[in-house]
Amino acid sequence: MKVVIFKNVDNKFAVIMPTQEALQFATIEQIAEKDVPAGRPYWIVDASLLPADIPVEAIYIDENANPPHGFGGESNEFPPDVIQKYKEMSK
Amino acid sequence: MSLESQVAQLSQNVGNLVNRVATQADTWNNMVQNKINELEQWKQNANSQLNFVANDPKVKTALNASGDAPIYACRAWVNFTDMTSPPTIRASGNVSSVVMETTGIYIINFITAMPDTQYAVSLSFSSDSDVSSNALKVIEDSSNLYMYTTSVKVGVLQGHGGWKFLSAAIFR
Repeated sequence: MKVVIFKNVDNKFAVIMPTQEALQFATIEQIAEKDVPAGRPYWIVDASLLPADIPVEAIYIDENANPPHGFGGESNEFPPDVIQKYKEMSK
Repeated sequence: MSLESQVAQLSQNVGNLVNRVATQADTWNNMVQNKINELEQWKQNANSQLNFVANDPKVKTALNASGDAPIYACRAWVNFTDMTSPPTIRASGNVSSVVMETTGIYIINFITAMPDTQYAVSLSFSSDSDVSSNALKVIEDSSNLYMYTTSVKVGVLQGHGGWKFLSAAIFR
């Protein structure tokens, strides 16, 4: 199971859990682009790598040593072709 | 029989044959047109039966909603566990992801946007500890109410302690 970690506007890190529902018609990259705040860097990591029982505030990624996998998109909505897949799946 | 007579007879036979074919073609054409008309009528009848207004008795009966009170739809919902170990979304509808922003603060992102930000948020959570020490809320601060058409930010006052899963449902 993959999750997305992003560096928020306050420079703290947050974790995004994509739903299985969304992963049926969109890639985790497409979900990250939509749900990560615009322009903020994100990394896709395996959930098992997250340390157990520590608060999210303790998460830290060295951006210089680990270049981001992408950046949040301008829109908080999926593009029309992705939404169309969701509609067809929901019929 | 003279050659001229044979040609005249043959010509008459061909003429008769053409007339019979034309008549038969008209008959078939009429039959096809009748079937098309029947199908069109059937389509109109089907459409009239499928078109119904909101809160149509057929819909309410199907949903077991008795009485005169109208029904309104849940537009998105999610059920997720405390995200500290390990994070798990148990089930969802029209939710693309849940963000753990800080301890006890979550952003629920919708797959398809709400029509506006006037929706209602229903929150609940499980707890095996002192319920009075926990509280659920939609987050706001001095400048923002974090209810957008594409997401809503919610919080559990006591962070990740004492609860196993949180549910949210959006009505509009």
